[in-house]
Amino acid sequence: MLLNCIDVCKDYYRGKLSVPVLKNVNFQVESGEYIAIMGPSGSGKTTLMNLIGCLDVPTSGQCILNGEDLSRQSSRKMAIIRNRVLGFVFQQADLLPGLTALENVALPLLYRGTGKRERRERAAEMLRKVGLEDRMEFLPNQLSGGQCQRVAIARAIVGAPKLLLADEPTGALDSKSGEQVMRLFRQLNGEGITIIMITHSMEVAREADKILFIRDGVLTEAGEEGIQS
Amino acid sequence: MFENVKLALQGIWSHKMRSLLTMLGIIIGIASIISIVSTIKGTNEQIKQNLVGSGTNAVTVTLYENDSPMELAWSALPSGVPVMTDAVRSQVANLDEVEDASLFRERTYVSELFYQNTAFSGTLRGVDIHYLNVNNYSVVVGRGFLPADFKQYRQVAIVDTDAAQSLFLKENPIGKVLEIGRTAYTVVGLAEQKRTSEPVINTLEDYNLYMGESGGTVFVPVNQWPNLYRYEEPMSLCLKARSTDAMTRAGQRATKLVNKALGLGEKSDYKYQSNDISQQARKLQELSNATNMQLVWIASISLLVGGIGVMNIMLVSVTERTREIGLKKAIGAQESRILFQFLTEAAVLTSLGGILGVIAGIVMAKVISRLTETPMAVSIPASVLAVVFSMLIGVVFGLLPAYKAARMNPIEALRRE
Repeated sequence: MLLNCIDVCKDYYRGKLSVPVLKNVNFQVESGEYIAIMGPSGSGKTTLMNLIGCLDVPTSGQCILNGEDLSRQSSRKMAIIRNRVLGFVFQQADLLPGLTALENVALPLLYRGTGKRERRERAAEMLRKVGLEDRMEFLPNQLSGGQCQRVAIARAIVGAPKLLLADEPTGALDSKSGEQVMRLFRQLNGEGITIIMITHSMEVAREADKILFIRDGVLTEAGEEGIQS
Repeated sequence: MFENVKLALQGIWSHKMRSLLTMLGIIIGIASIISIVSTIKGTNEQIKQNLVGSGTNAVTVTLYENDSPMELAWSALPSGVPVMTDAVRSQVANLDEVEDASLFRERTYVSELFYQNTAFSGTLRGVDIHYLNVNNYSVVVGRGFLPADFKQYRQVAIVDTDAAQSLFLKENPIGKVLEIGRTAYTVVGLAEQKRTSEPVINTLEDYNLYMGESGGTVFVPVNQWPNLYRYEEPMSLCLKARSTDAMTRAGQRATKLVNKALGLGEKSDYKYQSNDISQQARKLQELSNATNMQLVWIASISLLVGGIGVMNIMLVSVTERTREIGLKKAIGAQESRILFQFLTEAAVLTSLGGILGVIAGIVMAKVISRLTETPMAVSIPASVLAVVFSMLIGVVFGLLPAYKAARMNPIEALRRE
């Protein structure tokens, strides 16, 4: 099992008032799964992703990712896990404007301490995989939104992560680019990468093998009818 | 490291105006310090140049009563002070730092020396056979002193170029007869003091220091002194040090040796002391250093202000780039890396400011030097130090913003649009 969340609760404090965002969330992800998490704004889906993404720690309960308990790690160890086990794709591509596509993709390897030559080779390979082999030396402002997002995906997978986390990956894209990204996700999943994707678009969620629904901090596995209700 | 510097430079370049304004405090601070230091160094080099230019490396060792020099024209013969002999002179001449030494007696502003109706008011010196050589005089016309002049007590004189000018105008001085204290002396030579360069005179102090003898000097054999003044008058010693740097040490050793040889102990009221142009020049240097160091401190305040400006803009930059920091953290950048990145940026910014400041400072010093006709000299160590110091300012004042960036919560950072 790649990820096991057991009774995960997360509260936020607004002054002295504690606001529960996640309530006893339990779910498991096996290697190679492709999961979509849906829910309205404020339902806690981003909070859940932050916990899985090793960016935050639960108030109670456990998140075990790749055999490691995420609830008690030093910030240094968390950074290492994010770098080695996870890959992130956000709604915005968030490329560094001063770096070329290739350099942007190579960034996680830089943080890992990989040598320059290997960094470039791996990054180039990833850009080929996302179909941007002819855009390697372009700066982000010379690329379209869809191309930027594909660079971001290349960056997310350059470190050969076990789990790819995507937060509204098509939210800022036109439908054609969105389709391209979804095809890419399907392809990556086919190559064995586990994907958890957050979205509020049904159309996008249908691309996944399994859809989870979150509402008011409670996670439920929903069939087609649950979503439509 | 290199990547960080490259990124920092890109960042600076993409915000040219902002970066320039941020650096301005550092630029102004460093520029003022560099221009002050260049001016100090210029003045000091000038003093040194004048010293070396005077070319003599001469140190005089004269008799002092307590702490003031004995003016033998006005005072009685000091009791218990034996006259320095040639044996003592040769001991001094044998010191390591000393090239040669000579004995002399002198009167300044003499009133008893005439050529026909022309009075001479320069210096009269009774000198031994070594004196002209020790003081870098060369005989231009006629001859120098000969051993026979001393042995036979010849009444001969040598004039220097200034004295010749004031006594004989353009006439040939050789064979002219001078009247010194009612005794006739025949001029046998014209001597000129060699200087490798003319001293640059900016102030009255410079003039007194380097051109003090411009009234001219007339030399007679030292054993004529009893004829002219009195017997048993103490002798002064003049030595030529091997180098300008050795002058002070040579003077100290010679003084010790002379006082010991003449039996002038600690308790004696009379003691020989050395006096060389380098000591006086050093005093001048110290004086200019002291006043200018205060200016450097004042200029440093503007560096502090510049540093605060850098901190301010770095804080803005951290806030602006919250999203970037969040992303970097998400893809696995350690806190230390973020810290280092912002520190590098601050340091690159201030170092650049430092380099521009050094350039501006040198230009400023050149302009000041032109306008006020004071010398300037670029100090390489000071320039390097200035750049290193401005880099340090970047590190110190960048620390708080960089720490803030490094400790930023990635969730908060990613939430920012």
